[in-house]
Amino acid sequence: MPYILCFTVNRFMSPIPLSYYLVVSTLIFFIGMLGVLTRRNVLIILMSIELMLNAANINFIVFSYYLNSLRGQIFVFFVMTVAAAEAAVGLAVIVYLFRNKNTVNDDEFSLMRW
Amino acid sequence: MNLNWTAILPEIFITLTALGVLGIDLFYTRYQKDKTLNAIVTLSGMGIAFLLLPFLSAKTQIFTSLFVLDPLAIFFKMVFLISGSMTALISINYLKMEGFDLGEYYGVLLFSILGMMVMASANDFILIYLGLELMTVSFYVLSGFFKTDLRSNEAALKYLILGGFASALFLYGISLLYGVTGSTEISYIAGYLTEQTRTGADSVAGVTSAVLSHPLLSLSLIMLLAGLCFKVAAVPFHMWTPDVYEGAPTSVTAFMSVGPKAAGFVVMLRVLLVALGALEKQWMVILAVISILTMTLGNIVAIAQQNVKRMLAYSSIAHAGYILLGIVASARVLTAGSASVVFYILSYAFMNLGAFTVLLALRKEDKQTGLMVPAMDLEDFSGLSKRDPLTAFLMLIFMFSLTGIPPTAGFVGKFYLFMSAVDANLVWLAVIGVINSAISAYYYLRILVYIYMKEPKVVQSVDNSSSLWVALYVMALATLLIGILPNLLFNVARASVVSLF
Amino acid sequence: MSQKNERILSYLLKSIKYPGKQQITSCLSRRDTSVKKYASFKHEEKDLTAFLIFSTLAILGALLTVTARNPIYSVLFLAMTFLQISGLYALLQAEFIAIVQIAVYAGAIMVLFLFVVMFLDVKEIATEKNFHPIAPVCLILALVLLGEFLVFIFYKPSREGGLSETVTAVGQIYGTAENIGRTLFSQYLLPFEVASILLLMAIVGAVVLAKR
Repeated sequence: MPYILCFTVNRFMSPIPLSYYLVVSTLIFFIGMLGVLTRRNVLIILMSIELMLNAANINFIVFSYYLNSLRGQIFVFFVMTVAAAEAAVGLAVIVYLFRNKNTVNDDEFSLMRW
Repeated sequence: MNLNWTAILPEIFITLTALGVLGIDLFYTRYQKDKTLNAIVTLSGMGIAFLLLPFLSAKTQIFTSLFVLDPLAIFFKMVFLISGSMTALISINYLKMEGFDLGEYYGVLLFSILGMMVMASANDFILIYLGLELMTVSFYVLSGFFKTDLRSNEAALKYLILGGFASALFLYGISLLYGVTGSTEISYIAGYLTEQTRTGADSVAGVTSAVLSHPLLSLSLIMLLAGLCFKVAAVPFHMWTPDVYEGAPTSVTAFMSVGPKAAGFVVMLRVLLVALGALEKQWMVILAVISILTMTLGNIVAIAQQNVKRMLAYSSIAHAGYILLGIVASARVLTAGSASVVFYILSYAFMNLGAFTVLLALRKEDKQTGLMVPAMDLEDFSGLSKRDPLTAFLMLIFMFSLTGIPPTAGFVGKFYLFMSAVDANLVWLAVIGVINSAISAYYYLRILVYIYMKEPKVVQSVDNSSSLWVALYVMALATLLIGILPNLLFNVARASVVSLF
Repeated sequence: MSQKNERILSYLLKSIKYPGKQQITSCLSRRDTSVKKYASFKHEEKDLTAFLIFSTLAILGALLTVTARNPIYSVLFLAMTFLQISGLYALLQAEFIAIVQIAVYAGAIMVLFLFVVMFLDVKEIATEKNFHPIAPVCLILALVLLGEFLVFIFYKPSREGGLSETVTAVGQIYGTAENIGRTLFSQYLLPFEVASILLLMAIVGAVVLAKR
């Protein structure tokens, strides 16, 4: 409730509160997490992981803005590199799996159990 | 800017060797079936990097304190290089037999070692994250290296999805920590949080300051812990371990159960004991619970396994639990606890690699096709002592060591771990550890029962390539030597952690 | 930039009123001294509006990515989410990262995904069941966790030293290509090299795996 009040008060005076951005990043993070946990299509799972990484990136940029330090932005730059590398290897794995099994649903891959 | 290049010389050497291996593969051994040259280059590169390490001046910080070369980093880099070169040795003939003798294997292996080495001396979360990802992405490739083997494919996929998930959790934890403390540098975070503790204690007795009690800090701690526990395969983040370990090529599994685990623990030491040392009351409880769960679940599920590779996977989960116990203890007794952790990691590296190497060397005849295939089941080990007494004896050493029977490295390692728990007034934790070792004796010794007391059921053969046997002898000797002369190494381990605090 | 040019530019800026004025003057003065204090960046009403649009669309895009039946739609919604997130970055003065976000994420990575989705048989993928049977349980657990997170974010410490209180003057850092580049190639040279090795490794690994 207090934040809804802040909403109207802050409009003309101070920057957008930090918590607004954190709410956005948290929501995106959880949507990504749900995607990883509930979807069966491996491609969509990989995309959900990208969403989670992006949520962390939003955090870094927001904190970098509010802390007046460039470190967060540098970190985001590196996370993007890592995400690109991970996506490349991940998609290669999916492509060769598809060649061998002709499916991309992850519960088809259960040769090994407890 | 002070650029002290000598501190990263081993890393530079490893990088150059990796590029060299890829280059040799491209220009020289491309049309040759035999990739032994790549392995030789890999081994010599690792050897040079290893020999360079003791000559580097410890406690140098370069690149504006992103990178730190303290004795702990040097010790762990030695562990990575030793286990990496053992892996390269045992891979040479294995890859040939399985028909996947590709030169890139050694290149990717070197890159993964580079990632671990970066992790070991990172003083900043940026470098930790990059090292972690370099290591993990290399292992996605390595675990899926047998391209026509569906199990290997599946292992790569599982590792990819769960590893990516854990990395994202870890990253989110770092971002929150950055927001709360204002930096990603470990020594800065440590100083900031200790200062907060002090000022909090000054103003109101017993009440910590608002930053320390801020829930976002605890949240970041939990997410960092989740990410790290995933990397070291601790319960409840262990689900990927048995599947990935079983599916991946055995040489990769051997390295995977040692290298990434050790790298995960060195990051854990730096993050928990140094950066978040002020929060030790919070993480100690969580880690103690995780440690107990990890030991118990690992050991109990391992009993039910008929597949030796899978059994060793669960056993490696249990060993992560023992090491976590040491980290919990080092919250109270800093030097003794972390020294025992470091010591145990080295002894674990030798004995676990040894056990996996015996598994890798043993092959059986497939009844349908008549071809020699890797032996995986407990039954395949029956009567090994009659066919090959030497291999049987080496397996006996490794199994004794994993169980913790003197005079082996495993016994001394566990002794130090449990003693540090007792010193830290955590007797109950030590007792749980001892009970778990007793449980583990059941399945380790069961293999020996099959080897020594049963009649052979299948036609076995043991890989007799010289490279594999060099590695086996080195590991068996090291396991025994550490067990007989532990003081020497323990002093080194103690000296390596003293600089940490 | 020469003295004369600077004078002309500042004259122009005085005469023209446009939203980005504050940023440009600050960028100019940054050249003189690095320790100079700037006036706190005044957010205007349209910033909040832009924030609301970007964030709503980003969250919507993320939701649609995760729930879409067909991976093609997922890819497109994810690209939309990335574009909106890059808008958020621009609002936070991280201009370089905003551009890189569009180029790398919405460009390169999304094209890679799109390529793989096209490469594999899309129809076959779309007709199969989309969610795990345990999805509802996951949903409930995640919602509980999410609530916890939100409570933590809005947590107000009783005494000074909390998250928002440490912040006094914000937005004094501009993530221009120059600033990022200078920092990257001086202070963060080693991580930069490690990242380059990581990319090389990924190329080699991807080729090894995908090659027949």
